[in-house]
Amino acid sequence: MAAFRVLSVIKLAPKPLCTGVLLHPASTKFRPHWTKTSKQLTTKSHASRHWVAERGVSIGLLGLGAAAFVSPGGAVDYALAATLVLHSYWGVQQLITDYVHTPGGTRFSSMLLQLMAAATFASLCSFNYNDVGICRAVAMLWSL
Amino acid sequence: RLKTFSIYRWDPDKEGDKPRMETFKVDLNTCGPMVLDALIKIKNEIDPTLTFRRSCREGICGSCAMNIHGGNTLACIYRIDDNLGKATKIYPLPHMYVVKDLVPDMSHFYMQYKSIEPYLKKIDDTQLGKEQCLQSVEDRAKLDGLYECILCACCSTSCPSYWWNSDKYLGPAVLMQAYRWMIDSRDDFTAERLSKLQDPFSLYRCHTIMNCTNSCPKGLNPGKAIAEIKKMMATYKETKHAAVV
Repeated sequence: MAAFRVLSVIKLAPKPLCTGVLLHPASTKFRPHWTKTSKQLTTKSHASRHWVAERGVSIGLLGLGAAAFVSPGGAVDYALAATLVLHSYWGVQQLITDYVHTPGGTRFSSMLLQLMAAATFASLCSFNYNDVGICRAVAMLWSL
Repeated sequence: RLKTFSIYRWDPDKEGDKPRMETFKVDLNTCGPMVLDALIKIKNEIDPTLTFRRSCREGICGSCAMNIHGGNTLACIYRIDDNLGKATKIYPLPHMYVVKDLVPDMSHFYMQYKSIEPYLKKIDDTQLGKEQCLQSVEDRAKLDGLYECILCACCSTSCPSYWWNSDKYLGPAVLMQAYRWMIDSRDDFTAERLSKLQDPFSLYRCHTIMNCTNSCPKGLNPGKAIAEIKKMMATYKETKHAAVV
């Protein structure tokens, strides 16, 4: 039955629209997604899950901002450290996907970003642990 | 009433020809109201080598899509600006490979359109053609604002994400048509159509810039269609026959 369905899809697919010279360099390389191998298809819903997670963190960050006003304290400090870093990490990662197009460049900038995110998270945590913490620091900035 | 038109020219058949802007003066008293009328007048009376696509001259074929006054639109339904002191600048669609003058290469765009399988797909196609495939009035109404797209590519070529990543990002025009077939009540492959967009590029290069909706000469809203796809992507269930596609 599965084979039959594959056949039916092929039968329904239209013939090529044009056979002229293609100027766009990607057009000769362009493969529709359904020609991907089964291995590539195993990561089924990762892209949409990532999108949902991004929205979740953004909304969470809004909530944490409010929480920092209402009840500033240790828990909110550490939650802020984590979500702030994760939010900006994912945001900059989108920039890399948009603008960095060479495999080497992508690897280099992703590594750099991971290092920076890890360093930021570590220093925010140590600031929370050894110093006044994020909520208190912002409050002090405002009172200046 | 002499109006100046500044038009992008490039002829690949001339050895070493570089793209340049050429100005033409057209008397608006003897010219039709739209930019396409002026282009045809220039081609007929001044320079027959001026090359552009046109067909229906009423905004239904999408052939004469080009960049006028810095915005993508159809020359046939874009009124000539009658401020005589200012030249009207006309370029081909931005970030497309140019075949000649105002003619862009659309083959990649069409290939992307083909890749979303823009036709009705049934799990059981043994009954195809035997009886009508009916749809309720409400279900048909869901396609309004989507089926009117004429694939002129004004939206896709106005999208910065499409400029930088057109090799992998499908772009607003193609995504809106993908959505058109996803929500068609007669189509059986909604989940498969959605799961084909499960990669960082095909759909998720859209950052809601909304140039697409701004530029659409038919007044459609590709940006909203893409947002609806993103919502569907977050909630749809994988079905069994997804495996065979």
